[in-house]
Amino acid sequence: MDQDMIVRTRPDKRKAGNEMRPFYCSAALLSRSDGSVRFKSGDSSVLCSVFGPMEVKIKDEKLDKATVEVIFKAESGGTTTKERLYERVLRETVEASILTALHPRSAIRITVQVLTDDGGILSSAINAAVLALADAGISLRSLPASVTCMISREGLLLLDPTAVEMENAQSTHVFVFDNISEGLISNISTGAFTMDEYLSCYDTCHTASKAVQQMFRSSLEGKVRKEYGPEAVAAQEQPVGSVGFEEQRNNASSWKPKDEKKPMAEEWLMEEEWLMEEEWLMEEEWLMEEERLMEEERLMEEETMRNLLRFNMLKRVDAMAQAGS
Amino acid sequence: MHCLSCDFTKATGVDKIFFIDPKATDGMDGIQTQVQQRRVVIPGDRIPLNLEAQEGGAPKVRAGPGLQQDGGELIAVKPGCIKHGNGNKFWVDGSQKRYVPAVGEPVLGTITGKFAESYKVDIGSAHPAMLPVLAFEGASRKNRPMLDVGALVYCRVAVANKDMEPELECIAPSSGKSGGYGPLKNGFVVRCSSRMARSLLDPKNPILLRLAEAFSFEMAVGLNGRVWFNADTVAQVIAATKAIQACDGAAAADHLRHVNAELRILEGIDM
Repeated sequence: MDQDMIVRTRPDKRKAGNEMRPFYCSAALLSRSDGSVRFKSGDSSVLCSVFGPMEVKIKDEKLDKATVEVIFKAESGGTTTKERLYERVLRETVEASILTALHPRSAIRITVQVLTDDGGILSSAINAAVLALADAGISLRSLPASVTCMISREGLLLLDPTAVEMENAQSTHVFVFDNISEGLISNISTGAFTMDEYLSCYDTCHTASKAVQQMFRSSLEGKVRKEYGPEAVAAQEQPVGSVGFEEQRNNASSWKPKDEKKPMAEEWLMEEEWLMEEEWLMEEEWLMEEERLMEEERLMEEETMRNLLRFNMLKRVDAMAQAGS
Repeated sequence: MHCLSCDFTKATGVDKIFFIDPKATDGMDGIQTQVQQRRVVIPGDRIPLNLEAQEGGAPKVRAGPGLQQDGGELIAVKPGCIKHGNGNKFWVDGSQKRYVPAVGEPVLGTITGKFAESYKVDIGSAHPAMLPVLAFEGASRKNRPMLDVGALVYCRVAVANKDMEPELECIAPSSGKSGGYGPLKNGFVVRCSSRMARSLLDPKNPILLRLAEAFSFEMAVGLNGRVWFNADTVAQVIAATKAIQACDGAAAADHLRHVNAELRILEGIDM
C-alpha cells in the first residue's frame, strides 16, 4: 500500500522510498586547485575545490594545527544564513577527518559551488569536499559519507529526496557516517519527528552511506589505477579482496583514461554508463532480497498447510475411533 | 604461491592488502614488484602487516608518507599504491600537487626576498623557505652569491619540520661541493604532480629516454613538482615541457604516445 503511494509521489520515477538517486563524481577538473571534484546526485550537482596546506592569514593562524576554511556558494545570490550554516556544518564534519595536526600554522581552504540544487545539497557538498580533500592528497583519518532523508507529511520515509519532495517534508535528516568506525560523525535534523522515525531514518541512511562509501572507493581507486596503467590490468589477472566490489573494480579498470581534450559531453556519457552498472547492481540486490522474502513466505504457507492437514487427519482418526467404539 | 600471505575477507573491502614475506622472495624480485604495485588503498584502510624479523626483540615498523599509526596497526591516510622496502618500511605512493617539504629532497625554488643573511625562496610549500647565503659552495662573508628576486635556484631541503619554516642549501652534504645545486640560468620551468616529478628522477624513465633520442637537453627535477628544461632551441624546450604536461596524470601506457605527438610537432617546426 505504502509502496504504491510512493511510486505515485516520487517525482523522478524512483520505485521505492529507500532508493537513492544515481550519483557519481569526476575528479581533477580544475587545473589550478590542489584537488577538485564535481559530485552529482540526480539533478543536484556541486563543484568543490581544495587548496592546501597553504599560507594562513595571521588572525586565523593556529599554532598546533591547520585552519580549515570553508566557503559555500549557492547557485545564485549572495551568502545568507543558510550558506553560513552549511559552511559551519561542513567545516566541523571534515575537520574531524583531516589530520590537521600534521600541518600547523597553515590553511586548508575548501570552496563549494552549487551548480544545480535539486535537494540534498548539503550531503552532496560534504561528499564532494571529502573526495576533493582526498584528491588534493590531504591526510584523512577516514572518509565521511553523507546521506539525506526525510519524513513526509504522510509519514513516509523518503531517502535522498528531490527539491519537490522536500517541500512536503515534516522533517529532514542529514547523516554523515565514516568508513572506519561506521559510526555517526554528524547529523542535522530539522522539523518535528518521533524517536521511531528518527531511528528508521538513521538505519536507512546508514545502509545508504555504504553505497556512497563504495563509490568513494571505486572512484579513488580508479584514479590511482588510471595513472599506474599496466598494473591496473594486473589487478584483473588476480582479483584481490572482497566479492562485492569486484564488478565495480572491473568497471573502473575497463574505464578508459579520459583524454583531456575530449569534449565534455562524451566524458559525462562515460560516467553515466559507468553509473548505470552500479544502479543495476543495486537493483539486483533488491531483487535478491525480494526473492528471499518470497521464499520465506512460501515456506510459512507450506508449514500452515502441513499443520492443517495433520489437524484434519487427527480429526478423521478421532472420528474413526469414535465410530469404531 | 607460497610466498604470499593472502587475507581475503568477504565484503569488507578493507582487508584486501596482502604482503609478501621478504624472506621467501630470494630471486623473486620481479614478482615482488608486480604484486607490490597492485595494492591500492584509500584513506581509512587498515593495512595488515607481514613483518620482517629483526634482531633484538620486536620488529620496528617505519611508516612513510601517507600512513599513520593507529594503535598496533597502520592506517592509510592518502589514496595511492602501498609499497614496502627493506627494514619494514612502508609508504603510500600517491600523487598530489601541493608540496610538503621533506629533508634531503631536491627542489626548485624562486627567490622572493633578499635579506642580509638569507634569501626567501618560494618552493610551493605552505610556508616560504629560507636559503642562507652561506649555504653555497665556497661562499664566505666576503664572497657571497649575488641572486636577484625572481632568480631560479636548484637546492636541497636541509631542515623540514612541520612547526618551522623549511630551510634550504645548495651544497651536497656528502661532498661539501655544489653537487649540481645552485642558480639556474635560461631554460623554462614546467609544473607537474609529485608522482611525475618522482618518476622523472629515474634516469631510465621512458619519457626522458625518448626525448633524449630526439635532441640533447639539460634538466633539473624538483620534487616540489617543478621541472626545469634547457636545450639548444626554444622549440625543443617547449616540446619537452609540453610532453611532460601531457604525460602528467595520464596512464603510463599512453606516455610514449604523448611524447611522440609532441616530437612530431617539433619536426614540423624544424623543417
